[in-house]
Amino acid sequence: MEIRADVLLAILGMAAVSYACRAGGYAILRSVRPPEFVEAMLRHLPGALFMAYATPPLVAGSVPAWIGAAAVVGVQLATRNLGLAICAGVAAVWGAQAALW
Amino acid sequence: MSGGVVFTRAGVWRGAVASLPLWLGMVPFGLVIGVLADAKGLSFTETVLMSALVYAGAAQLLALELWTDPAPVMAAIVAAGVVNLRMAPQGAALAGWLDRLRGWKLWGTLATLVDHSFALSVQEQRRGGRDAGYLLGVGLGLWASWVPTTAIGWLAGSLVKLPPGHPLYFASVAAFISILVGLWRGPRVDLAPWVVAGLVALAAHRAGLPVPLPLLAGTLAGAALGAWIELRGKARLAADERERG
Repeated sequence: MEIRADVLLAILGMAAVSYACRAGGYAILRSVRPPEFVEAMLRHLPGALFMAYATPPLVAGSVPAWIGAAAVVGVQLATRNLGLAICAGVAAVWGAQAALW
Repeated sequence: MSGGVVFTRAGVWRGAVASLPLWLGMVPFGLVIGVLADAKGLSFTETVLMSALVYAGAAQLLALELWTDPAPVMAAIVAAGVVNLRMAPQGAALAGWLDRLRGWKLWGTLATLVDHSFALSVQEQRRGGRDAGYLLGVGLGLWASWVPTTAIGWLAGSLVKLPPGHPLYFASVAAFISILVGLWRGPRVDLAPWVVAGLVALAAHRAGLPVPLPLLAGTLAGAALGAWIELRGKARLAADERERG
């Protein structure tokens, strides 16, 4: 039942900011229409965010990481199933590492 | 539609049932979060508490990737805020239902809002659905599977200690890549913003900026470029129409 104060603070902070996004977004956007540019940025935010996250580790990563990435894209396109795509990516990295070393 | 919106127990139940097929897709994602939380030194209780209170897979994944000891409070909060900002317009898009709710039904339902419950509810609204309980039902159904799945992931991770660089850790990058595939709307809309987002993040990362600054810089640069391209396209379209008219 270990809960450290610093971890608890981080979790509560994450929970508060997440709720602010869920509820605050509705509360504010219902009454105030943001500038058109901000609305457009919100539409583009998810793709840009995940690209910004995935690019540095992939560029720094080895050949198996690239093979894994290709497997994820292929399986996700074919099946549209997040779980299957993740499993395929991990399996491809595993296989590539075993084959190359 | 706003006239006949209701909020019934039957609607909540129907939403929970509709969420069942989504469980399968969430299980590997939840397991990854649990394994990663264990690898980063979070206790079982802390892991369960985070899943129960934050209840946002991508935000948890990103925060855990940045995790250090002692906990990076500011970085974790910024990561959760940046990732979850996408949910702000989702609530507004469901206004047709939410505007008719009051008190806990409104603010409690919003607490369970996730991508999947948003997507299913938009479909339900388009089919003419009038029961706002559906949104809460999907959110609660997914929450009820999310928390135990991450708990099981933690238990599995603590039983089998994985060395750094183990292929299983690729699962978190894999999760984001498969989310990206689903978000792709074609090269005209997404190619330039995505490339810029990746390059700016990479440059900031190479320049040694501390987390989560590379992520923020890349995200804002990509989203701003996407918005600029989109609005320029709209302005051009309007100008063309004026010429023809």
